Amino acid sequence: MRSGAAARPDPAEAAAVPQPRPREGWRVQRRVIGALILRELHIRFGRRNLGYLWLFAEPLLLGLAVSAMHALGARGAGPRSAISVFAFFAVGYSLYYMFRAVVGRAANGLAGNRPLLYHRIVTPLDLLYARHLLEAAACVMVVALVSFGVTVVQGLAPDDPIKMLAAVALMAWLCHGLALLVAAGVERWEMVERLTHPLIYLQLPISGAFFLVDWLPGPMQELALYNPTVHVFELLRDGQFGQRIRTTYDIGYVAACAAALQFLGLCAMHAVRPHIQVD
Amino acid sequence: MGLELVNVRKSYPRRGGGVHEVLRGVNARIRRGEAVGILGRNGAGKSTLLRIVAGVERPSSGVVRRAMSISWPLGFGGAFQGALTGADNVRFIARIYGRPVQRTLEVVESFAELGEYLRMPFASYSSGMRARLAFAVSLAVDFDCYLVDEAIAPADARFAEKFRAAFAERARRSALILVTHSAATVRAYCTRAAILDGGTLTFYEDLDEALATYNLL
Repeated sequence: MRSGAAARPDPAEAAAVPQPRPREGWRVQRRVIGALILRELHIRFGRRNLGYLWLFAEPLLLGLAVSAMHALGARGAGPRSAISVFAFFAVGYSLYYMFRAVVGRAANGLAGNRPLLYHRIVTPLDLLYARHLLEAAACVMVVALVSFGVTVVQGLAPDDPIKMLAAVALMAWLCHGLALLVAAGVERWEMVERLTHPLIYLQLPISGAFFLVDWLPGPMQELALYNPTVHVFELLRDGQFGQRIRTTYDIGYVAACAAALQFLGLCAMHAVRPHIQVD
Repeated sequence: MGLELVNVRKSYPRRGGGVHEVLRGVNARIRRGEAVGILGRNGAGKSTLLRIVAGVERPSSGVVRRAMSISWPLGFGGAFQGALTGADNVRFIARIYGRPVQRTLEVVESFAELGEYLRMPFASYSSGMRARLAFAVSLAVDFDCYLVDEAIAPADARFAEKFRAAFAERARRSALILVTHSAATVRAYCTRAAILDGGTLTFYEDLDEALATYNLL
């Protein structure tokens, strides 16, 4: 809200803190987001370096446990395909973890960081960007580790790592938009927080994390493909297993959904911005 | 060049409908080298005004023009994360304002005199220690304009004197806006005074006149 003419500095200002002028906005924002990421790492995992391992050890352990349970439960029946049950679920769950982490924590994403909004250059959006980037980076690591594990244990090298990376990126984009909507919604109506938990649970079976569209009866396939995350998991598995399974996905559809969610999320954040209580 | 507020209004929705208007058209012009005391009774809207100047909150209408860098409102709360140590908070603040981390930390270490408390969680600090850390790190970042919200009180006399000396050193290039309900604080720090009452701000060029008026409120 600075007028152009009035903002010209006099010489004495040279040594002072640079004001975030529009041209510098992006540089300042990058600095702020970088500082936020470091800070979040410190808070969540402590300063000792081993603590950082938890960032991917936690989803990895959870993913392996869920996968192992599925593998045991599905012995005999199992997915009707050439790939092992274990590998199938481990790869799926590693990506679902990001959905849980980003969307599930979106409801209290601003709450814990409110004191930081005392600094004008830290915006609510910066807080969310930092968290989402961190979770996406962790997810890339986890997917890479699981994929590496599948390669070593089962001798199945990923068919196309680029597709797997694209799946993580698309998932991050979808989660980002949804998390913006949730974070903005919570500022307006507290009950939005209560709604996110059922959303996470309901999404689990229908997300595509644990099935292939190919296994579903015809009409169900069409229905499942309305859910954008189903496409993402199909893409991820195409990247890992390639021709061994039959996958169906439409990247354009996912991108359109993600862009729409992000647009709505940004609008919602903009709308609630004046109502965000700083403390 | 400095800071300008033009017809700034702020209202909050009242529970059960209607709005509560805290600021009803505040106008102000504050330049470098000025130390302005803003006097007001409890609930007059002093903190709200300071938060709007800082950019923490947006005015409902009106314009805030900032042609100098402005600190966050230095007070008891906000700006620091309780779970992190004082030092980690300082590192974070140095990073977001683009200051060298190590040097900022050294400046804070010598100015705040928190000793080993600097490596302990901010949540364990007394209010006096919080004020010391806030002043030290904001001086280390080096703003053009400092916003102080009643926070001088909890710091002990020695530190208050230290802050005044540090501020006097930069008084020609910096501005200070201090909100308080204490006339003595204004006399100790300020060159100009204004009274916030009924949602509007009235400036007095003469300190004695301002304080006399304030005492009649």
